[in-house]
Amino acid sequence: MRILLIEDDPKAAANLRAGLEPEGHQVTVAPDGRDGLLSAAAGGFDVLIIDRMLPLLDGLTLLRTLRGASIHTPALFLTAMGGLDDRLEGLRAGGDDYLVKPFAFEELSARLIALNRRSAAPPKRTKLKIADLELDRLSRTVQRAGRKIELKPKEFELLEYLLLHQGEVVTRTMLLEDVWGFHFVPQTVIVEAHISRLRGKIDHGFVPPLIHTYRGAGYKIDVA
Amino acid sequence: MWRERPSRTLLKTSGFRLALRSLALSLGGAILVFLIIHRDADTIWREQNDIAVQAAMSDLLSDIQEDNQNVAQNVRDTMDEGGGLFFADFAPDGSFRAGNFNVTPAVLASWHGTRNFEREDGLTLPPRVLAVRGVAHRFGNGEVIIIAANASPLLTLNALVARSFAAVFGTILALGLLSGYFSARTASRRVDGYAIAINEIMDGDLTRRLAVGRAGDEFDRLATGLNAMLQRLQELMENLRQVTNDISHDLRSPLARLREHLELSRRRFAGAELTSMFDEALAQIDQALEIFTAMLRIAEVEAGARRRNFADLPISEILDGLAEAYEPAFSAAGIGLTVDVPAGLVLRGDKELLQQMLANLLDNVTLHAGATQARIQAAQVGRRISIEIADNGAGIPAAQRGRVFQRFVRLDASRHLPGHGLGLSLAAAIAALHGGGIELQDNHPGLKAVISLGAK
Repeated sequence: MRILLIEDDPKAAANLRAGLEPEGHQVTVAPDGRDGLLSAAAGGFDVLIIDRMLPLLDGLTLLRTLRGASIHTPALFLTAMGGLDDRLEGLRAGGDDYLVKPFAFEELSARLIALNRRSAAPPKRTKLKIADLELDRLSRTVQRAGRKIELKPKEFELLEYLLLHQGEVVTRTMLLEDVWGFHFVPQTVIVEAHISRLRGKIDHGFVPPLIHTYRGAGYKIDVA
Repeated sequence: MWRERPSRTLLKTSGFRLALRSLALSLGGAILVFLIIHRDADTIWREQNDIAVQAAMSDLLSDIQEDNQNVAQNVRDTMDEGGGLFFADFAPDGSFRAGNFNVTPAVLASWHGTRNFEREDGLTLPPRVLAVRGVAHRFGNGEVIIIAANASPLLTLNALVARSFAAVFGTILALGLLSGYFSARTASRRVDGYAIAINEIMDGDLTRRLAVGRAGDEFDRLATGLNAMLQRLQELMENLRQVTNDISHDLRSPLARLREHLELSRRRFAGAELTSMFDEALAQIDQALEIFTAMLRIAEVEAGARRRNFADLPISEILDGLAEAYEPAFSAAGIGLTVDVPAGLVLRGDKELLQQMLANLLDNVTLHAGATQARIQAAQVGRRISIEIADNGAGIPAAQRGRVFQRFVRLDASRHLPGHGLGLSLAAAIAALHGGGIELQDNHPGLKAVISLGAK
């Protein structure tokens, strides 16, 4: 993935590059807002990572300018600004995702992959399949190996989200935000408990297991 | 919000009460002036009248003494001389002998000295003469002569004074009430305007100012002063926000670099022992960051600016959503969760914050209560919404229940559990932002958190 990182702190930029490049991404760094805007406008990037507090041009204005010029490269704000209204401001300015520093690399990586895939997503499919599991988004039914599986509404949405991201790791916070609409992390293991229930329904008694746990990172639905 | 609505009762406005007081004063003054005019006019007319009547009586009596004619003849002669006075002569038996007016025996008997009588009292008078004032002279033989003057002008004068008084009184009353009403309405409109502006400021719009008119009156001076204060407050709040942002940024950025560094090092150096060391260090950083985030969030909530984003929220759906999200975790922890929330409850608030408040209280049940049963209840009570989260666990001793809302307070029993002692502080701050509060009660056994929030 070609990533444009707009970040004025050289150490932070170096760390990010060191964290992302081993995962096969090409990282270009823009050290200030104006440089970032010019590079982003020139195109050729799959994803933009934008800090909010930037010299010469702040991140919000930068992205608003890009969106105003019909440049829709997926953008993620990576910023120390974590106030209640800050995320909303970032999304309103045209951001596709918002991650507050400090962050875990697994979290950033999972979100970048999701962003990149979202922009390249095929037209809406009504049936999501993996191995012998099939989810019908219209009739809201699930079956595995021809057997119908009863799911509660949230379990259905959770499975749907995992299937839309099949082969990718989705993190606990991504699930909290996107499936439950929670923009905070509860102390209770909500996601784990739901995954465990879902597993009991779609993996128990079937081969191979489809839901995989990545300790400290999240979950992935995949054949292997 | 618990706020008094601006009162619309006219009598309760100070402007109208002031107007009423000055109106009463003006009316009192008018009454005094009219009383004086009435009394003086009356007195002056009486004095002149009495002098004229007395003089006529003296003349008549001296005539009677000089010419030795009978009284009736003298009365007739004097009457012919004119002078506009009324004369009457009555024989000792009360019969009318001479004169140009007559009185009933009752009036005659009661007429001693100077008296006033009206036509209605039993007087026979020419038309247009309504009353007379005069003296009676009683001779030794019981004969009586009465000389009186026309008192109609006095009545007319009194009626005129009374009419003018009524007119002036009525005009002052009407104008006073009207001007009182208008000045009170103007004043209370301005005060209502201020109240609306102040409510908006309390709701978080710190840029709002009070309207200042061009008159430069006391309201304008008050508004100007308050606006200066609001300007200062806004600047202070902005400074505070700036400082908070700076601290947040300046603390988060190095923490972020440290975290990145630790993660990169964990990747680079293999070995189970090192990995677990890095994991432990990362967990510590995340814990510090959680505390930091929670503190900033509490400060942000307490500043109240969030109120400007309030919307009508379907709180029943939010509660159902939370119950659904928590149910598997409750079940995994061996806690049965019952939900008793009627559909359609609505309140004005911030969804994200209310979710966080409720989640913090539910977290306390799963982490600290040691319960086997929990219950989420909600009900509309008048203009408020009451939400109860109850469990049958260990509970909190009554003496400690207030303390747990304080920041960083963790009860001994839960020190070894995850958490930072800010969850209930944040929950309480969020409830306060929504014009309510959280009360912890004994659930016999267990704990019951009762949240009261302003309804829509």
